[in-house]
Amino acid sequence: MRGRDILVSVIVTANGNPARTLETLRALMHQGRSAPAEFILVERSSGSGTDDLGKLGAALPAGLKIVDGTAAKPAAAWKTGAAAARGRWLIFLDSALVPDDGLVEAHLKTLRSDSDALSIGYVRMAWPDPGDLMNIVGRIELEKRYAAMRRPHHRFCLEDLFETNFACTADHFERIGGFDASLDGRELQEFAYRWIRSGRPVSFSPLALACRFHTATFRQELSRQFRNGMGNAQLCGRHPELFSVVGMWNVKRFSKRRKKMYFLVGLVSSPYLRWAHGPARLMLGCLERLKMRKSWAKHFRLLCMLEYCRGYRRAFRSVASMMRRPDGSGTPQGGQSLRIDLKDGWKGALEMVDRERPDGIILEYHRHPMVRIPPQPGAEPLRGIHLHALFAENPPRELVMMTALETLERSGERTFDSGQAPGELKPQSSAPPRAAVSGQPRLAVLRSETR
Amino acid sequence: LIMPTKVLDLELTEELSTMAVPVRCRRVFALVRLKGRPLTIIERPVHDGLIDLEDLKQTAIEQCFSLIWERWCVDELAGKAGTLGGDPLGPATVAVCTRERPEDLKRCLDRLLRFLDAGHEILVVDNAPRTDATRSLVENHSRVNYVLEPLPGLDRARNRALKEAAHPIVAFCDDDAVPDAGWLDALLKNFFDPLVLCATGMTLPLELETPAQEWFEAYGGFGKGFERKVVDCTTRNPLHVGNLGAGTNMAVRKSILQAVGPFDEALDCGTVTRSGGDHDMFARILKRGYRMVYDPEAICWHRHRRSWKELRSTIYGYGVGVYSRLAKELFMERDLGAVGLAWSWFRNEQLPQVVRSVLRRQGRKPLDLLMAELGGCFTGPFAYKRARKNLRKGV
Repeated sequence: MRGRDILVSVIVTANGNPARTLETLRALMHQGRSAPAEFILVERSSGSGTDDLGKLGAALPAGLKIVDGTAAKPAAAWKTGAAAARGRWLIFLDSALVPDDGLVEAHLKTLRSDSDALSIGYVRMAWPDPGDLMNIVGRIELEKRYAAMRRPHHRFCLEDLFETNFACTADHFERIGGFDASLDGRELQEFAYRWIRSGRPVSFSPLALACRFHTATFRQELSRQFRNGMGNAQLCGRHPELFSVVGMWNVKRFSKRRKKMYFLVGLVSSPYLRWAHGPARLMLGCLERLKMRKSWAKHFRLLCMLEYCRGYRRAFRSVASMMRRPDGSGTPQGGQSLRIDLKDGWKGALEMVDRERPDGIILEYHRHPMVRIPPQPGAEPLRGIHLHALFAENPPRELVMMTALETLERSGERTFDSGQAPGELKPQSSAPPRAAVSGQPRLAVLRSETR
Repeated sequence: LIMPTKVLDLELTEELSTMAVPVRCRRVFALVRLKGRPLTIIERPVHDGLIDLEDLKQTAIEQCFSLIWERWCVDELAGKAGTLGGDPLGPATVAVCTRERPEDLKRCLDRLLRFLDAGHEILVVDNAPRTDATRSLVENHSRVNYVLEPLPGLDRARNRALKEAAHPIVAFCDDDAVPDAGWLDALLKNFFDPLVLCATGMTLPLELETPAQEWFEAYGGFGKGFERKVVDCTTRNPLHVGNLGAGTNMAVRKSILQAVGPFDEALDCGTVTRSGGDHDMFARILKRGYRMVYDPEAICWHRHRRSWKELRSTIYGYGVGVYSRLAKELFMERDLGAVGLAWSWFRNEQLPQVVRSVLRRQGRKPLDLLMAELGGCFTGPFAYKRARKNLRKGV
């Protein structure tokens, strides 16, 4: 029976490295929390890892429940842990992550404020060797993703769940079917997709911080990309509507010549052939030696893409079957875009989006299309705040001009139409300086530019 | 160049008319802002000692028409999306490293005390003083803390400030600079990103009264444009940090000491290398995988050197500093890119400028400044070696 005495179940999956696992568990169990909790360790590693953990015996914190998940895939291990959990809320963590003091409490705070939410925690990479370019680049990429999630207008999508540091209510977890243990990769993303599709919100909890001490080697990183490719191919099979997002039919995604070359090489090369690793490592080593960091990062990303393509290819019998669109891929999640005419005002547009929650929108001004946010399969339905993103960075020129027009017309600036001399510049709180749009170009010019 | 020039700070949302300036002023150099944020620089001739500010404003509006609307859209419509996100940061330490410039320091402190909230700490690091003037000045201000660094070197003073600072972020301002009202807040807002270790701002001339000051600004100055830049080692070669601002207007995390290490005490003012300590730190930050931000909203007004002799010495010092840093990159870090950078700078920048100056072509720079810089470049690598030796001796 859930929720009687235990409110939170923290599920930690371990795959070898008992010392790190112990550190994670100790950090978890010693942090302050406002709800009774249980801790479940799912031991995935076979052989020495389990033996080592067994040897730790007395060193393991008291009250820890150990579940056997030997040789299971990650998703199966998480599922096993969730099945053994008795708490109302579930927190999933990886033993490679050492949690910060407030991790449990931060997740709980998010879940208490919105029990429907999937709370995504923040993982920071701590690398022991500051000269390791691969980890430097990895950390920069990771932080870029978190920086995007920190912005209030971020539209969450399945790609945002990429680390095992998240929390949700056990009821919703069960209702959407938990993890899909049959996938070879991208289990978290698949879970996030079903969560979003069920209409529940996703939120980022930056205070739920954990540090990743494990630094991936070159080979590990490439095999992760390979698994991602395989996982995405399976994801497309499971959810055909995601084909336009994670499928590889769209070669336009690989616009540059070199990227196309890598794509083709990845496509036709034998799925089992790892011939590219040796020369690529050599080349990257030379670039690292020559301190050509930008080139290194570029080539490393391309190599990752090659591995991704090889992984994707592996899930199919032939290239033709791979390029074929699966049934149902033509109708992306949710369907059509909502048309909003901004002549009714910006505030009205925001309210309409909040009310309708469309998958995509087409912003118009007097029926003239201005900006389009296309439906994005795998992303949460749009909210009013997502429109703010249009202005946050490099606002489209048409939209800026249209907003200028709309503001002037609403504030009754008839002097602009009559083409009189510009008035004095006065401090105004709600509109930009009048003189900013006076003189040349005038309103008529503005209007012609806009349409 | 026409001189002298009146430096102005114009706010577009304020009512403006005409302004009288000394008749000897022949030109105006105006920073134009919209709601406190910088938009552009406008330079205009002055006739009969009168500046038509309305005319300046119209020019600014014509130049920045789209930008004004974009800013307005972001401010009014983007709501929170226009901000960088995150919780407000706590108080910071402002460190002013100084050496025997009590008049400049007084102006800087007066400005800081006027605009800084009480929670922020102000630290004056007196570097190898010969007199008690700085100490006496600081003793008159109860809010300012005094720290003595007996050994000469700007980077030594910076390291000392980092060690003594009470807050996790330390903003550095030179004694000959005057920070703007929103300077510290503009720098601090960039630290919401946990990978940002250093933020720099835009430095503009406080006065353009002499040919030396005019030429310093024409030579490149400290201003690096009106666009915010966020860079890391995947987007920018760590050796190319020249246009990311300068140490006269920067803020760093105190944790930089553990993450990247202290400022290189063999570089910058007070040592034989004369400059380069700030750019060396910027390069190291990028190499370690952290980010740097150049934010033009963090404005400092810098009093450039007034006499030609001082200017020549400064330019020579920059030459020494740049090549000292490149020598360090080559010999200590084994970065061959330093050779390429030095060669491309010489071939594409310095040599054409010297040729243009010798041939008296239009837009030339003064030959003695160019030669001073070149001389500094040739001395740089040897200077760094000597500075390292001095450092080992503890001089």
